[in-house]
Amino acid sequence: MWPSIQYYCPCMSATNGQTPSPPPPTLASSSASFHPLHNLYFCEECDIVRCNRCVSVEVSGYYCPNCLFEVPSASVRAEKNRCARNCFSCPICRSTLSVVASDPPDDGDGRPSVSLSNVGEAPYFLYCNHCRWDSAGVDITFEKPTGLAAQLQKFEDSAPESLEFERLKEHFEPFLRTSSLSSSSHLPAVSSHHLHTSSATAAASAALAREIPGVGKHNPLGRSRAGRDRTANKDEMPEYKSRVEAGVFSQLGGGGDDVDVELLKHMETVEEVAKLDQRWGNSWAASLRSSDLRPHRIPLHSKVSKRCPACRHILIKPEQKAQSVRYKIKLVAANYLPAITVGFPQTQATRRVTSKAPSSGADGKNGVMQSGTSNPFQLALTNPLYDPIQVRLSPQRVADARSYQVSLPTTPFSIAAFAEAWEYDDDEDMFGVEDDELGIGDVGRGTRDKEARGRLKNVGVLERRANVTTVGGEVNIKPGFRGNVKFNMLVTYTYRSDDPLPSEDGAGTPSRSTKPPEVKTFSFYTVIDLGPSVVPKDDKLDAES
Amino acid sequence: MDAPVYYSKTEFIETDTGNKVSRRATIAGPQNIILGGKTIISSGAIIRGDLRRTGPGHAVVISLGRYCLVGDGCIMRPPYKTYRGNFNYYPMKIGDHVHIGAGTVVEAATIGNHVVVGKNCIIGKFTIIKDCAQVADNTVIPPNTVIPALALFAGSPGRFVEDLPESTQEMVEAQTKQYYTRFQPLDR
Amino acid sequence: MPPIRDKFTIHSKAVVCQDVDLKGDITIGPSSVVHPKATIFALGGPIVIGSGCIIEEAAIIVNRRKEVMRIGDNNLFEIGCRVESPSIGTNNTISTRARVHHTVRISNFCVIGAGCLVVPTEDEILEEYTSVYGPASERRIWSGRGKVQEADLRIKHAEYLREMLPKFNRLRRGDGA
Repeated sequence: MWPSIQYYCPCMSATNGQTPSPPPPTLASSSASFHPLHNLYFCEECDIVRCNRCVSVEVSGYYCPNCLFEVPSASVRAEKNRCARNCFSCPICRSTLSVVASDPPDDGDGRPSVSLSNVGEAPYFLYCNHCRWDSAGVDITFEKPTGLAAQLQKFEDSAPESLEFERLKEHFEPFLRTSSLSSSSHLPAVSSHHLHTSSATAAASAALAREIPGVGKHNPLGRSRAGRDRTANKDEMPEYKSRVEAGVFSQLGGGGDDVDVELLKHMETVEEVAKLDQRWGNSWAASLRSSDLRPHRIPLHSKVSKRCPACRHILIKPEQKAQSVRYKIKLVAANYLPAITVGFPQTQATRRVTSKAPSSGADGKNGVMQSGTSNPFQLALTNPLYDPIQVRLSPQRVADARSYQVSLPTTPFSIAAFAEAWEYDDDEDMFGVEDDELGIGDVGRGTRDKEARGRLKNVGVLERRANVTTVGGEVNIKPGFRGNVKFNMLVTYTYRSDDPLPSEDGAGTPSRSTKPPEVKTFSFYTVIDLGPSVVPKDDKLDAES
Repeated sequence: MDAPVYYSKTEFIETDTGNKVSRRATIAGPQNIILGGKTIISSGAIIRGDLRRTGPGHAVVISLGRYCLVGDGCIMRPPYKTYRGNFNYYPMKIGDHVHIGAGTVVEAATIGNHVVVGKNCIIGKFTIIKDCAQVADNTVIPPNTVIPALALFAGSPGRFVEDLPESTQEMVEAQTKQYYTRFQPLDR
Repeated sequence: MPPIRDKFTIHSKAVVCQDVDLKGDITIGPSSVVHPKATIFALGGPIVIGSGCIIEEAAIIVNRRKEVMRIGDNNLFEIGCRVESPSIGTNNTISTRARVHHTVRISNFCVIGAGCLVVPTEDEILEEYTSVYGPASERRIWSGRGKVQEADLRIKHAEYLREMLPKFNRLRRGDGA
């Protein structure tokens, strides 16, 4: 998809004092550092963009994605992170299963002998609306159509694997308890030690240390003391005796070599073997046979809060209710940074399509650029702030001088403040304005004046409308260049904040500002992808023949 | 920068509340259909307001909110089932800012606000789609599926792919309003 | 190809909406329902539809072969499906936007899932209780459990439609009526 623009999050780059600059966009690995604006957050304290990769995440609530029941955190572990009500997924196609009653006796041709009345008949079973798998085929039926998970739980818990696991847990319990006491005492040391790496990992490892106390001991500071604890505990540990022989599990259908070989030997169709993704969610090694597959309880989803990894301030805090889409706190970059959209002038877009049409239709709706030409493009910048801003664009020099050159207006330009009223204005009137100024006007002008206006006429501020300013740029592609036209661009904007309230634009952080307190500057990097450039057709034909 | 989407002025009927309904759409049982305003019903769409619940009086079969788009060739029909031995169709309720892509068949029970359904999808009977959820192009959602808020579903059967960004609501709202603005008559 | 002679035989207890595209020699049996915007084209031989079938909007049934295309009883053709099978048994469901080629004969109690393609190059017969599903149109044989309830639903559905559709749609009558 092009043309496109993405915003840079500096979390992947080493910060050595200065503003981190993004990797060259030609590197495939650079894509990990760039994100759509709407996926980014903004920390007011640190005055920096944050992305999903760098924020630290905390679960604020669990719910079942099917019945939407909000599961209290306390019971999540006991219910093994899956829905404990009536939600199951099909073992064959993974769609959601329904509970259905058994058929009444029929007269043989599949038609009901009498019109069915209101009551379903036991036993009930699970049924897939998508592929028509049903649980009666694997001997799972229910006396009541409610509380199915609880009814199934009995089978689950009595499985030899589960029993063995429970016994193992019991066995290690005393050991875990003693070490969790000692690990909690040196937890503060852990977090302080890890601060310089990333507090996100620190938070994660702290959480891990809480859950699995042994892990905490692997940090250098805690080593000596923890080492003592461990040896001390080890001596006290009685030896564990398995209740079942290891080999027995294979006979239970748990992936024993010989059994599987036998199965494969006698297999007739490939469907007899369960696919990997059908077995993937099993807690224990299960049979290879697709006829042995069991329904899964549906895994829970979670709602999460997100924090700035550096200052720990909350960036995202959802409302408690699972299906609410509102947030108590939501600091997203789109409310701070100007939104930029990239496009080609309409005349050019149509010209491209027509010129490109004979060769192939697979090039997207904008066609492709040809090397050895200069191509105008447009950037529309939308100001989200309640104050006007001054913006300066500085495209990064492209490393390879033989590829392409980007021209953009170098002088700062202004974008008017965002006003709530514009959004709710009756849009139709405004649309007419645009027709005259840009859309329709451009069609006539573009074709007539293209040559006359000269090359650099495309570069500069083209239009100002409400809180949107459109600027034109041009990319000059050197002859013979083939590949994506992609470049980084630094956007610097300056805004006056007359509003003394700290709630507005992060006015509470004067540290970054070198100018008088009410004028502030912020800059961020973006990457612009204008799509591929091809060598003109005559050359290409030569190359291909 | 966003080019207007032109439609022939003679093809569409515009209501007082700004709904734009193509004359080439098939609206069965219009008295049972509610459009919230500024909603667009595109050419070739079929909306089955005639499949109403039995019983006396007025019954709303399909209601759409504001700033919705029913794409070209979409088919919207209410879901049916037998409940306690009685057969019935059940109403379909769709919220505000809901876009439904071209060629999609919808038999959902409820679709929340700010939902985007892609092209050529099949949304099975009694599907519930919560707020700000999205369904990718060509997805088949089996009957009785629940799509939670802010989830992206894709595939056949449609399954959860990822959580959508926190700003989905604002994005979809802007997008649907913008689409309505861009959707302009052409006299010529 | 000789010009197609239209001959519609619609049973008096069938409900066929006016806004339906019919072509050729078509017989529609008792209690069957054809929704508006459905298409039935007997381009080659005639099409004979049994009783209790429901043909939903935008469904397309085409017979290009010379032989008679026979569709049994209580079949459901859902929205936008396209079927060219030369023979279809009873109690089948062709789901929304599924597509079945003329090379496939359908027996009984088969379910072609939503959006599935059944387009083999060689002639074949779908075994009873075949379920076709998923993006690759995989097949499995389902147990038949629940079929009585499903048949009950279909019968009641057709009953309901025969009562409700005439209230909102103009109906088409056969040549004989």
